[in-house]
Amino acid sequence: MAETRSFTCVNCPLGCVIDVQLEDDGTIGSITGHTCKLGEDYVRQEAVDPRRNVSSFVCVEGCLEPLSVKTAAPIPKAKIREVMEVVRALKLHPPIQAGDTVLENAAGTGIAIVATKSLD
Amino acid sequence: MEADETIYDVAVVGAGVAGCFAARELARFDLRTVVLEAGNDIALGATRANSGIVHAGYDPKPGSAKARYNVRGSRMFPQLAQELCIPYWQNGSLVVAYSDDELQEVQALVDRAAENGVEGVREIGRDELLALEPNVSPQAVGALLAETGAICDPYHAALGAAENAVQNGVEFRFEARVETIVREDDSTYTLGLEGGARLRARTVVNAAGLFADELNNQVSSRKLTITPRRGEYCLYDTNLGGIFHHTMFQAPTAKGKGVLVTPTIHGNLIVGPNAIPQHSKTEAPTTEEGLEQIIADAKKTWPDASTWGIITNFAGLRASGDTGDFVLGEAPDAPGFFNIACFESPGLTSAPAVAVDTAQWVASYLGAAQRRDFDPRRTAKPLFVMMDDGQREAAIAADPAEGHVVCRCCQVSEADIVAALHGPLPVLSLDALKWRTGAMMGRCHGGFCSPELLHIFVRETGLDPTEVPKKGRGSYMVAQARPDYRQLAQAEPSAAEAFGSCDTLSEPYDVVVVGGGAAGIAAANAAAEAGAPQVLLIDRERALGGILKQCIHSGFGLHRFKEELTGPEYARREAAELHQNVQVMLEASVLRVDSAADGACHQVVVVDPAGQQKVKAHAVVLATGSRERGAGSMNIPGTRPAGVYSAGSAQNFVNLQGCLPGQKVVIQGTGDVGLIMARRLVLQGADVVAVYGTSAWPAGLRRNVVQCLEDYGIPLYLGKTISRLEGDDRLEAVWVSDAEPGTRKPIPGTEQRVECDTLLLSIGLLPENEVALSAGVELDPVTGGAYVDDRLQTNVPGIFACGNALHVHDLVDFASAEGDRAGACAAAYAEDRQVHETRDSIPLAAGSGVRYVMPHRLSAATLSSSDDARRIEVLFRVRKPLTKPTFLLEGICADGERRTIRRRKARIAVPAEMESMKFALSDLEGIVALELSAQEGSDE
Repeated sequence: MAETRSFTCVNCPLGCVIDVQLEDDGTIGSITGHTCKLGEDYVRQEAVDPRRNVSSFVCVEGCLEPLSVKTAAPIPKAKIREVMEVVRALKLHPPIQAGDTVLENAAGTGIAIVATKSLD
Repeated sequence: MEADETIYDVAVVGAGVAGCFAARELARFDLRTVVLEAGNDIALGATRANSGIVHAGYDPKPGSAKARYNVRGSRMFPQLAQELCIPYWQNGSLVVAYSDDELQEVQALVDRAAENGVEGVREIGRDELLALEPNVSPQAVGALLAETGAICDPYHAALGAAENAVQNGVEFRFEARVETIVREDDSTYTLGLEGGARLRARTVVNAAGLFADELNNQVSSRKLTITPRRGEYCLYDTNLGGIFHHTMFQAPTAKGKGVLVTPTIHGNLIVGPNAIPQHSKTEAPTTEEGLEQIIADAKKTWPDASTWGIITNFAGLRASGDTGDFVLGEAPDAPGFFNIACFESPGLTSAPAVAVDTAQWVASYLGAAQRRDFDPRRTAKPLFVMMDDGQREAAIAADPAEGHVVCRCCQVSEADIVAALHGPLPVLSLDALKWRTGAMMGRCHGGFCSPELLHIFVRETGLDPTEVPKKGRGSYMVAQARPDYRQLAQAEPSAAEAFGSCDTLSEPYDVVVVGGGAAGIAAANAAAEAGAPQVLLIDRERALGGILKQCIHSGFGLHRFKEELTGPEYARREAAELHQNVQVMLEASVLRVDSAADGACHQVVVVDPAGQQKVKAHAVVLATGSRERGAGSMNIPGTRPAGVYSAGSAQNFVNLQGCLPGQKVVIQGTGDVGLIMARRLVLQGADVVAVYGTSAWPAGLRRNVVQCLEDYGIPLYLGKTISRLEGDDRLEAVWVSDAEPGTRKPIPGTEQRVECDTLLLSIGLLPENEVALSAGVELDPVTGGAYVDDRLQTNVPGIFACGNALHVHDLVDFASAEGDRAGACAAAYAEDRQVHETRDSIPLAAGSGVRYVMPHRLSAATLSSSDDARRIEVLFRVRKPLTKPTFLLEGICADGERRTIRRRKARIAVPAEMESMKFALSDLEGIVALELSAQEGSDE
């Protein structure tokens, strides 16, 4: 049985509600409700493999100011909480430079966590 | 039970203004005195929520204790203000009549003043009144003028007396609530404190405010009954403080005494109070009806009164007795028990005189002698804001922490804060620090400075951040902090110690940029790139980047760098590419700009821990950013618990301090910062109960609604507003109502209680323009920013504005782009310093459907340029969401005829997203004015 799912497009304030028919084999069938190509591209990704950039901060040994970090690329939406857990558990020491990788392959996503600022 | 063996000579119960002045007068005698205060600060009751008026004395009934002590107290205040460093100003009082009947009342008060022995009171006519107070309602027919009427800071009156008492040996105990009092056989009194401790004293001064009746009734058969009467107030921003010079009373009528409108000693304007009897002695919430009523009543004096400009509302409780007069002196059947009871208005004015007599009675009863070593002068460090330029220079030279301004709205220095924390009386809450120094009292509600204040509080006191109360016990400021926060804060050097002075200034500068956020960095760079040889960029913080530093999420830079960056990355990239001709001055606060006419140099007055300087500049770019609208702007009634934060303030606590403000969070407002904070708090382990927005559409980006709320299952309710706050110390719940479309006011009968410990407000940003105002820059009430031409020059030649200080932008990329333009134009001005006439410019107005247009006019310089093909870009916002709108730019000719300059259709327009339109100068032939409008389109 094909399943229909609705998405709100995030590309512009129109916020089109786009219906996507998902076939039994996981492929996308019909797409309706979008008003531009951006909307179609958005749901093609969002319906099959939704991903998010996640940013957070880590407390660094000896520095009151936390270190801000981000995922180097969007991670699967379902992995956000797991990635947050491992980020929170990080034990880091200064100095750290913006752009440094502070964790490879966060929670098995294959995506690194990188510092977004420097701490001496 | 633990018993204190000491027998005190005097136990003063209550540390309001009555108790504090009594303590100070008792210190003149050879007596062992203790003050017992139930709360964790002085002046927590009627003294704190007070009009702050030192009454002249024409009002109380002749022959009453109120009349006697009012007149005596009023005469004592000028000297006390000197001795005790009490902010005090004899601004004079007016009692204004608006009809002939009221004029008769005014004349009766003039007679009463004579009977009470008040000098300097006379009737004045309408013309003299209007000359004194041009903003008073034209309905006024005459007034009583009392020259000795004055205003003061009631908290500082109590503080001055209390600290002077401590300096002279009086002991203060906080969180020492007296529950029982017994007169023993040996004629001493045993006071039972909450928690079980006991304390003995030979005499008692009962200054327990609303509870004075309960204390009296335990030892005396002459029973007292105190009825709390609630009075509600609205406090307005300092930019309205100049509306009136005098304290403006209304003539009494059959309906009551009316409300007063007065400047406060700190330059605000205050309106209130009403008088509502109630049962509770502890709860003083404001109510929607009450606040509406006082504003409506204030219109009689001040026709423009509205909720606009309100910083906060609050209520206090008067301790009203049943005789209409104070109850003073020894209780007839309880020797050694002295009352200062039923001490309602004019209690503040009377307190010093009542204290003199009370101390004398106590001393006579105990046979105590005067002390020779009593020192009537309080030694207190003057507050930074009270200093003149010369005093500031000397103060900073003596203590570099004077040059670090922590609270920008009220100009409070780090030295002010440290001095207060180590003063004679302990500071046990952030509110106690606020009342002592003024920090967090300004228009940003502590949004900017409360994280740093908490940091300094922890550093100086050694408390864990979670143990620092906002007000009473249990009113924590943050729910969670890293375990080693305290150690790290104490190990860090203070901002003043860590200060690294910038290189020697080389004046005059071609361009000085005030504010090192996105717009300011761009402006400084662009000015240098445009050829300005000497550019100075000033910022108040330790690193450039402004608010970007706390915006750790991504979504920045897609336009400017064609790449998605986080806030810190964007700031870093901009700051890393600074032109070599840009000199940077960090940790420096610009206090004002003294603007000059005729192309002479402007002077930027700036302080840092190295001193105060007046930096000369040919051109100044104001990139001072914006602040968040706070709770005051919603005028939410109810209590005033801890736990209400602006979203950006919470963002600072979380992302820059690593603290979690609360566990169970409600967010009001659908701005992007609020949506982003909803996600952040959930990811940090908090429970975000719901997000409420007053409009029918979210103010933030669609992407944030989906990725910050829907992704985490956080419900979003539109058309709702917070109508009441509940909780005394910490927030316990908010009440949510349906919002009336249009007015956005709560609809009665729709209220629902939502339990939470934290409320974040994300209800919009307001351009920050104090520095602009100091330079004489005119502001547009719609945007809150300056009126500018297409070169972003304000009405003051050589002063430019950009970024969120000019108008609030959706994207930082656009603020940077505006900074680029302002910087380049400032550099061009600095080079030729040519001043063009405004009358040769073309005004650009917002037509129907458009909220504002930027710029406000096309400059004569642009219009006279030879480059006809040059294209001008105008930015604008629509008033409400429009589907398939048509934007229309029309030119108006000298004969009034309209001509379409440009027409553009769009798919959709919403207020949250800025629109733009371009046209060529050559299109403007014969045009004298421009107007831009937006209409909902049809489907064809």
